[in-house]
Amino acid sequence: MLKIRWLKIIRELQSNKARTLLVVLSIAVGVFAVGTIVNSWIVMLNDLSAAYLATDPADAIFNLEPFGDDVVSAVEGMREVDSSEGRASVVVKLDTSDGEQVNLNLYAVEDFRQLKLSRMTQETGDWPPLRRQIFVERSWADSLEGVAIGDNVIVEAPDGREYELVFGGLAHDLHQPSAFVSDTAYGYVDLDTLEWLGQDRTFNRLYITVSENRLDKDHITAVAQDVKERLERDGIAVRSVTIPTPGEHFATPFVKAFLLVLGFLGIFSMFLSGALVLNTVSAVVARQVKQIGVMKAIGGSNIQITEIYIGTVVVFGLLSLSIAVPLALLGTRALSDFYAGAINFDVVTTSIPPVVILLEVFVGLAVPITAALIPILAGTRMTVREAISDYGIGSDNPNSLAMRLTSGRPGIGALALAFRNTFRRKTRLALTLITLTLAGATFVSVLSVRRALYTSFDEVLGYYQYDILTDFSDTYRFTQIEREAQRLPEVAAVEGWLAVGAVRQRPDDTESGSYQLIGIPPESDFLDPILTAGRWLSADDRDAVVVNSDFLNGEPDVQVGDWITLAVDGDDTLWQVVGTITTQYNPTGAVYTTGEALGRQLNLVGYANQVAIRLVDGSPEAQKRIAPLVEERFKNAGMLVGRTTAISDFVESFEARFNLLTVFMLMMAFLLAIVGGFGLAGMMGLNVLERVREIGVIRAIGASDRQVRRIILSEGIVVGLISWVLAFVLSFPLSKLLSDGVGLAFANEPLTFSFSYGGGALWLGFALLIAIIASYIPARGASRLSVRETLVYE
Amino acid sequence: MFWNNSKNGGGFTGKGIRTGSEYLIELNGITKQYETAAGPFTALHDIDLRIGAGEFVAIIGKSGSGKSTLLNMIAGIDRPTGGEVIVQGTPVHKLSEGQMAEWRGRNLGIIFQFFQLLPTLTVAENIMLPMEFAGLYAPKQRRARALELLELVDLVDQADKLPSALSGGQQQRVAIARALANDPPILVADEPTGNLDSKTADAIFDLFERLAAEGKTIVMVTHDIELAGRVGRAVTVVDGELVDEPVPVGLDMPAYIAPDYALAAR
Ligand SMILES: Nc1ncnc2c1ncn2[C@@H]1O[C@H](COP(=O)(O)OP(=O)(O)OP(=O)(O)O)[C@@H](O)[C@H]1O
Ligand SMILES: [Mg+2]
Repeated sequence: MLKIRWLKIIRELQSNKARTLLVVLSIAVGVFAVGTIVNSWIVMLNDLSAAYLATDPADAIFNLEPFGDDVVSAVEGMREVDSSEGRASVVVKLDTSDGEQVNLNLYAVEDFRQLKLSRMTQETGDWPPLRRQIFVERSWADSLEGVAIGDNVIVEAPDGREYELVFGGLAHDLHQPSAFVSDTAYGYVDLDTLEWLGQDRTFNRLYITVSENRLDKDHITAVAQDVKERLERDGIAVRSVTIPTPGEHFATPFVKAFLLVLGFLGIFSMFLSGALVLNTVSAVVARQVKQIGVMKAIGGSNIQITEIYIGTVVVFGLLSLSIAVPLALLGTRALSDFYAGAINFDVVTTSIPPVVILLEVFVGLAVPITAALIPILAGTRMTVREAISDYGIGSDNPNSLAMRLTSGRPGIGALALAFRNTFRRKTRLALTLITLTLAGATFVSVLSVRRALYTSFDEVLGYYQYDILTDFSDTYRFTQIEREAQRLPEVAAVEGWLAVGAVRQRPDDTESGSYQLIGIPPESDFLDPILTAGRWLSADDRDAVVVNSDFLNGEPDVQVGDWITLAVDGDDTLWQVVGTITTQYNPTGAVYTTGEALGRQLNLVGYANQVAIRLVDGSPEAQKRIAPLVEERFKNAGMLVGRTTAISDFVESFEARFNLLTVFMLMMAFLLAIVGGFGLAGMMGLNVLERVREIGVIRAIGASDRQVRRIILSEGIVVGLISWVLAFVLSFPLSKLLSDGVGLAFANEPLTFSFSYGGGALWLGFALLIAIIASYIPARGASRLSVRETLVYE
Repeated sequence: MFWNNSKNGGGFTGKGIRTGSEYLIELNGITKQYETAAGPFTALHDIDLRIGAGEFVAIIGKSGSGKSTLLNMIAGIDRPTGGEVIVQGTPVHKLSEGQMAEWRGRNLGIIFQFFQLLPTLTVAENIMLPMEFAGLYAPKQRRARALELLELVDLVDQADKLPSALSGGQQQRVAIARALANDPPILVADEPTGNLDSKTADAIFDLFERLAAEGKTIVMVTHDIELAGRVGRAVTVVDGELVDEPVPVGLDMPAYIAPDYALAAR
């Protein structure tokens, strides 16, 4: 036979469905937020890392002059090298199905099935690509919408000739940035097809893995150095060496930045949910103090009574878990699929990791039980008289301040009652305020971070005072470039730049990764960098350079005034750092010098391999329209064009990255707003429930429904307003902290702080809306009860 | 009588921890102070009271005189500020809240003015709950016992209703049945008829008289002088003190100074 005690638990839950729902949802929100966040965190990091390692990523990638199989075998023969592989990489142009052209980085090997390192895998079609077939990276599938396997696609080779290739299917390549963040597509052909496209049947990329210490970047760097020396001895020029962070997908820092925000919100949600649960559960139990007294009067021991209420809370917790655990799994899927899609990997983990379950149980059971224990223990320790006494209408006294503020003033009536009521339950008020304040402060902080992201972004944009940048595959006299460009009436101004890859020779004899060394006219107004130290270039500089913070992240020892050695095409050049500038959010650092200084070093004075163009109309549409015309112009003049970038394209891909972060932040902010709403609704509901008798008395002495409702609504609004003020104040330090954190994780540099006053105003609106909704429901309930009902209410 | 055959037994035959006193209930020098906003307020002044087994005692006095406070001391519902309460040899004032509850479950039945039935349990379940708490009677027999007790208070047909569906008088009879659940030797009631019309009050009072006749020791606070006249002995509280003046209890002598007499008179 079911014990009466358990019966009591079940009946309590049933007879107070609205309250049960409120408590269950309060707990569920916390379980959901924590579950989703922690689960996504684990799933994303694990699956990205697992998928990446499964491709056998190369430890170092060399960009070389053309070479053949003999070089590959020779390098593989080196003791420190485990395996090596050659690949051909060439940038062509692909006609997309919407009639545009995109740059397509084409990779070619003899047989993709034999690929050992940094493998790509088949997504659709029959891998590997056969003669005259092309596979395209899957994240670019949208660009080939409507193109079926077997259909023809048009590819424009570097010499400007067009070829028809058969679309073989999609491949998945984890080693390339996805369409979401990159404006270059990736494609795969075999060497026969490459030859047919008019290219040499040679490699220009060498992939290696080292034999030992594969996770030691210094070791890999040292091995790469040996390989480089060996290659140079064999007469093969090394253009650049890339050493990815060992064992880590290149998007990992981005994922981590995102996870940082996620983790921050996760911890907040846990606190929020804790406060909310503490509030609701303890109020539920506190309301039962009289029943606790009665049960003690009829012989219930402390343990028996505690059991009943813990039992009730366990049921609350289990109900919440049964709702929130599956929802958190769905949330995890939605969240991680979205981000995995943006980064271009697949989430394969479908199970919930045990730690996540543990955390969910902790939030769903341990927190509410702890919350309930406080009033339960208080209730069992009270004497029966204290527990069941009804001394007057309510036994707590209003806060004396609230009393003083409102007493003795004529005409304040109902409002004074609302104000005093609000302060009557101090602990509950405090917890509700904490919930709402945390929710509000997080909401405003998230919006501030979003704003800071866009402010930083605008700064980066301000940096680019030109509209189109064309890279040439060769160097040309600047006068020729300028003449060709100026033939287009849309072009307002032109600058020729010289950009080369450079490797820093560090004082400790190691080498850095590859940086860009760019020679520009010192008086150039095409760039508007923000100096962080030192000065900008001037016309009479001979060997001065300015470095950006992306460079400094790799070379933290470099300071203004230092001399640095940069290897360009194998030759060491010596430069003095005269200034540093803020990040451009580029993956590679940049070193700026005057065009003349670099030209002299390279014997290319008066030459350029990049042209920056400012248009008469710099709108994104104009940029997009004119970029191909510019390219056409240069090609017609017989110049080899590598790629042409409209700055607006860059802006868009940049924006996409930021949106990825902020979309989620906004989602969380709204979730927090909802949690806060629950908190207030809970508090108002409980306050009203507790004072049903008092409300009955007010009505018995002549208060109208509207007056009763107004008292309760004013109470809610008072709380909403107080929480808003607190949230607003708290959101300043919080915003700063969060935006610094995101910036550091995202670009190794705090974001330019920008407080979102709009967000503050928006939260004011929300807080009031929440307050009104949260108190309207109990207010309506209270005004519906008849006086008789309220007076006998138990 | 069926309520006398429990393991508990009645009054004196109980636990054997008697202190040598022949009184079932003994209050020695009880003082109670309440902390109020206006400073401490003494509700009971140095009260001595002895109640023998099987007595039916009424506590009477004006509103605010301290009747409930005094009763609460006996039932362990509240703690004295000073003095001792010894019930059936147990120093109640020394028990912790938890021990007190368990002690009460077996030895004392409480009836409140506002019934205090648990609203989410049916009438029968309300009566079974004390048995469950005390672990008395086999779980399967508890319902049968609850029904027997309901029969006693003439409410068997209401067994499976919720308290809210019952009238005040019916609820109070359920509360009495609940107080009898574990067959305690002592019943304590604070204005059990205070909330009822006089006809219903009469019926409830009859019930108490029957229980007293069966040997229960009953201590009852009442406002109703007429009813008070029907009990074996009345104790008057005036401003927190027991007074010597004769009271209209239908006895010649003030009962509080002649407990032995009251016992003998039965
Ligand atoms: N919790 C309390 N705090 C402060 N004073 C109290 C408290 N309970 C009772 N009192 C005071 O103690 C005195 C005795 O109260 P008690 O409830 O015992 O009176 P009573 O005789 O039962 O009255 P009634 O017939 O109205 O029930 C009263 O003056 C009352 O104001
Ligand atoms: Mg009283």
